[in-house]
Amino acid sequence: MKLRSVTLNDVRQFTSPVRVAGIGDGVNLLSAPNESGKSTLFDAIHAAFFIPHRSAKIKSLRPDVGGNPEIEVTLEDARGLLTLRKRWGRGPYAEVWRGGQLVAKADEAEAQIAALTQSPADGGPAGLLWVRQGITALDDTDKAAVKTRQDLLTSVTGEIAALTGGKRMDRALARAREELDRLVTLRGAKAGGPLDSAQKTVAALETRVTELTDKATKLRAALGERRAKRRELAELTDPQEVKTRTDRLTQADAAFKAADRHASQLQAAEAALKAADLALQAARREIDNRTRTAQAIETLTAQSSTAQSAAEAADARATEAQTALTKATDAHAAARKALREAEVQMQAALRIEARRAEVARHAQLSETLAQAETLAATLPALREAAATGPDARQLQALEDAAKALAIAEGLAQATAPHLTFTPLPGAPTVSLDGAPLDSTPHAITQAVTLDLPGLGTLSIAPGAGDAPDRLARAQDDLARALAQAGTDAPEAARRAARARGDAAQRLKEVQEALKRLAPEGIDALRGALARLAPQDVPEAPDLTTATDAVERARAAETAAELETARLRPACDTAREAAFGARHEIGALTRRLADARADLAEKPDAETLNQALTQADAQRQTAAQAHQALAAGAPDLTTSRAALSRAQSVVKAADDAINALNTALAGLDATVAHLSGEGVEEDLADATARLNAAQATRDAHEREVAVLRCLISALEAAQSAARDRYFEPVLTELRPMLRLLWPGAELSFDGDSLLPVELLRDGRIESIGTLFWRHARADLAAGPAGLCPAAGAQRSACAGDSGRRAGVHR
Amino acid sequence: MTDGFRFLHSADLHLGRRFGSLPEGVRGRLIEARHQIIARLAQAARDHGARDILLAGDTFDSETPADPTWRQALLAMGADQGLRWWLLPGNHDSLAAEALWDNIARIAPPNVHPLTQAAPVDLAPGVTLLPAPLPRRHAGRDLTDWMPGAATAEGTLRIGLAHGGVQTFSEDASDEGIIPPDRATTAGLAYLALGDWHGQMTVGPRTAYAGTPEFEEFRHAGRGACLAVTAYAGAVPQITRVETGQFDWTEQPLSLVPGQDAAAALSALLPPPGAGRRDHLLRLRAQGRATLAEQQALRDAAEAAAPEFAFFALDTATLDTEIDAADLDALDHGGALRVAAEALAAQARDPARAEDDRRIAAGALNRLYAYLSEGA
Repeated sequence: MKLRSVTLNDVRQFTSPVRVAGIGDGVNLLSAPNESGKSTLFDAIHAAFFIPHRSAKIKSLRPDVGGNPEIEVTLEDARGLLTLRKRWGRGPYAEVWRGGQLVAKADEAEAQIAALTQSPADGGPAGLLWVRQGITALDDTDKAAVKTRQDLLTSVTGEIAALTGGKRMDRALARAREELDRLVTLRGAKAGGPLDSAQKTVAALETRVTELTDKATKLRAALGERRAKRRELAELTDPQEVKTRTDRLTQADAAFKAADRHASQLQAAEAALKAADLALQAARREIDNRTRTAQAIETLTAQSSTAQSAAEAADARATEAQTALTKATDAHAAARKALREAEVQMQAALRIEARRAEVARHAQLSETLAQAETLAATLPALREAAATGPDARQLQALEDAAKALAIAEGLAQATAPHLTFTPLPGAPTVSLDGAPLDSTPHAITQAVTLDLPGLGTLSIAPGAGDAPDRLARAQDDLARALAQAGTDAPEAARRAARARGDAAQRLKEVQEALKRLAPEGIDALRGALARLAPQDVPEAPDLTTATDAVERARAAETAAELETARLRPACDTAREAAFGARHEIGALTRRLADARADLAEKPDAETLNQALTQADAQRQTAAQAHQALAAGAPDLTTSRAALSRAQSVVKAADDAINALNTALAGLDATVAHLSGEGVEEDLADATARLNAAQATRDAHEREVAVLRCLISALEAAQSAARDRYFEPVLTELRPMLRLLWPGAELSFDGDSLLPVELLRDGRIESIGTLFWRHARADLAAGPAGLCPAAGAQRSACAGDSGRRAGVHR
Repeated sequence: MTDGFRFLHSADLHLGRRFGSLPEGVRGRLIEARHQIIARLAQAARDHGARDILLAGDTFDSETPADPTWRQALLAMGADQGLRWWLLPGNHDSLAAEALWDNIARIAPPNVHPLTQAAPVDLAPGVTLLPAPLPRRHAGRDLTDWMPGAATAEGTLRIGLAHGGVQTFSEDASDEGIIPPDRATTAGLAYLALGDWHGQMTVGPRTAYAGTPEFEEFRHAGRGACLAVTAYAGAVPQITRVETGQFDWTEQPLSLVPGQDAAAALSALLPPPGAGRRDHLLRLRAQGRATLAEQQALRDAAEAAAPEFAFFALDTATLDTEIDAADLDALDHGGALRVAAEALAAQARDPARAEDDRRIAAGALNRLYAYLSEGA
């Protein structure tokens, strides 16, 4: 079987398909610069053969940018070409193709691929010896280890591991941790783990033991109580005990019955004595009754006599009272009659008085009518006069006009020229408008003519102005007012106006007088008068006399009435007394009759005395009999109490037996239930299981202690080894690393050596070589016996992404 | 009665015991074996030509056994009406267990006779049984003290039946109620059948403990057995051990010294290989000292042998670890492993440490040895 080609896709730096073909028979040389992918090619071939397609251990082949590595390897064997195809990550598959046909998939394909690596001796077709890069010397003993070391750093790690315990240390630690993890976590027993299970079992069994102990205690208590109650029941139902109780009851019952019988006899004697007492008392009462009856007859007889006398006296008083009353009644009747007669006289006097008043009224009405008619007769003239002459308005208008004329005349007088004539002595008389002119001033308000004897005439005319007009209008107005007033002068008008006012006043007075005299009119007055026809007034006693007579008669009647009223109660009382006395006599008579009849019915005194003597003898006999019985009477109360006690004892015993039987039934049920369950067997079993479980738990806890002790020892030793052996190496190595990568840091992470993903292949190889050589040199110079024995024959070469070593930049 | 009176003497059946301290798998077998012991006793009686089986107490493990326990026991006893079972209340099933004895008296088969009274019982013409039932768990007195005064006809063969210790080996370690070892003599008994001690023991020529017919713990080694007795008036009874137990209980120390082949020492204590191991319960208590390798070998040998037994337990709690250089070299010649091993060894040897801490360190060292040996 020969390799013919390899195709990579998404394998490390080959993110697109790359095919290496043309691999021929014999030795093939693959030569390329560092970082070209030589190692990748070999790793891919290795993965195709040794890493299952579903494995996650393919991360180192995955490109940095991500992807699902795919590898196809073509082989040639005697049967032709064989193609292996695998993909890891998403959509993983494994296929085996032969001659262009798919012959196996998935696990079957993996099985066929695995078979390809087996040697013919093992039944395989070829026998693929996979020698990793860098391995130049292999020995049989380390073959298994060598197979797992894939690179230089693994080799280096192996050396380091030799100092820190190596894989054996890892295995021991892993086993110890694995077993410890199975038992505990940081917080305690691991849930579901053996220790947790043991603890829970112990807890459950402790609970179970507690419960069963309670039940067993309850059962024990029930058994104990049942034993006690059974003993008690046995004692109560013991035949001797029962017989004792029964005998006591029987004796008490007999004693009680005897006492009861005696008590009955005593009671009978008491009754007989009581009866004798009663008979004696009855006999005595009979005698007493007879004596009392006889005495009553005597008493009643005397009372009857007395009552008779009293009745007669009462009758006399009644008769006397009746007589007086009759007289008073008659006097009263006469007084009433006189009163009625006086009242008739008085009524007649009243009627005559009324007729007199009517006559007086007629005369008054006649006078009034005459006055009214007289006044009425003046009315027309008064109305005429009241309507004649200026009325108030006209008079006011006249007065206004007169006033205006006076003002006008005054004004004219004031404004007119005044003529004053002073004659010389002996001068002729001068006349003015024919009248001698004196020496007083004259106002010339209108044209005048002076007659001057001897001289002629002189005419004087007032000058122009409105005074004359005004005076003229005033005069006209006055003239119209006078005309309207029907007069020719203001004074006449004023008189006429006063006459009109006086007539109006008089008219009003007449009318008011008429209204008083005949409010409803004269005709009504005449009608009323007509209805009062004048009659003759007969002679009659006067009203005062009649009234006095009535008063006197009424007083007499009242006095008679009072007298009658005064006498009637006394009369009634007397009559009632008389009646009562008679009634008393009747009652006494009946009682006396009854008493006599009663006495007649009673035995005679001798007979009664004999009966009394006999009853007294019988009573003495009964008393003696009772005394005899009472003297020897047993105490019934005591015997009844004794019987009651005996009955109580029996009843209490019966009740106790019933209660015990009931309680025992319950206890039987409890015991049967609990014992039927096998509580004590369960308890013993649970206790044993608990002990075993506690032992198991203790063993697990001891196991934890042992494992922790071991892990602690291993970790301490491993840590100390690292610190002791590798820190100096790292100290020396760091400066050299920094020559290659300034700032690079080399360190342990405490768990594994220097995990880093930065460097691969040649770089790792270089670092690994450097590291290994320094380590070797350092260790060789270290303490004897602690130098690792492994790796002395190995050299370092090649490399890949060492998981356990690296360089930090 | 020149031929003697034949009967079977057994005791301490402890029916109803559950064996909670043992693994689940073997419990059922042990419980069933206890029940089957009734049939085995019946067969032993028949084989011995005896009609009567005297059970000297503790027939039941508790005073209130579960219904199936006593009901099935009675049914098993009633299976052969040709036999008579005489049941004496012991300390585990004393008369305080009223319910139990009431039930037995009520529904027991005709051939099962509870002995609840300390009164003579005629077993056969001329043969009287003098039982001493326990009224309560701790009797507090010698219950056989009435036997000397028990009146029987002249020439009667008197057989005593009692439960309790003749010395302080009582199961309950009580000093009270010790039965005088010479009770058979003082009471004129042809034989005093005793129960309580689970192992068989002959107290005197006429007095013996039958032991339990089926062991239930490691205190008594071997298989349970009963006694077939032929009692004679005026003569020493003939007592024969009849093995009845199904399971063989063995508890032995396994003493080791460094250099000894621990596996071989273990093997020497084991019963011969074969099917019989299935009915064997074995508890070995390793003691002494052994190296890491020897302890590993011992563990391996025990692990290999254990599945063949009904129960197998190797207790190494008291086995000290001998730490030698070869063992440490076997762990590693150098490096951290060696350092860790030496640290553990130092802790295991350190007298300043508590015993338990030293044993834990030794255990850790043994564990390390085991881990590293796995892949070697």
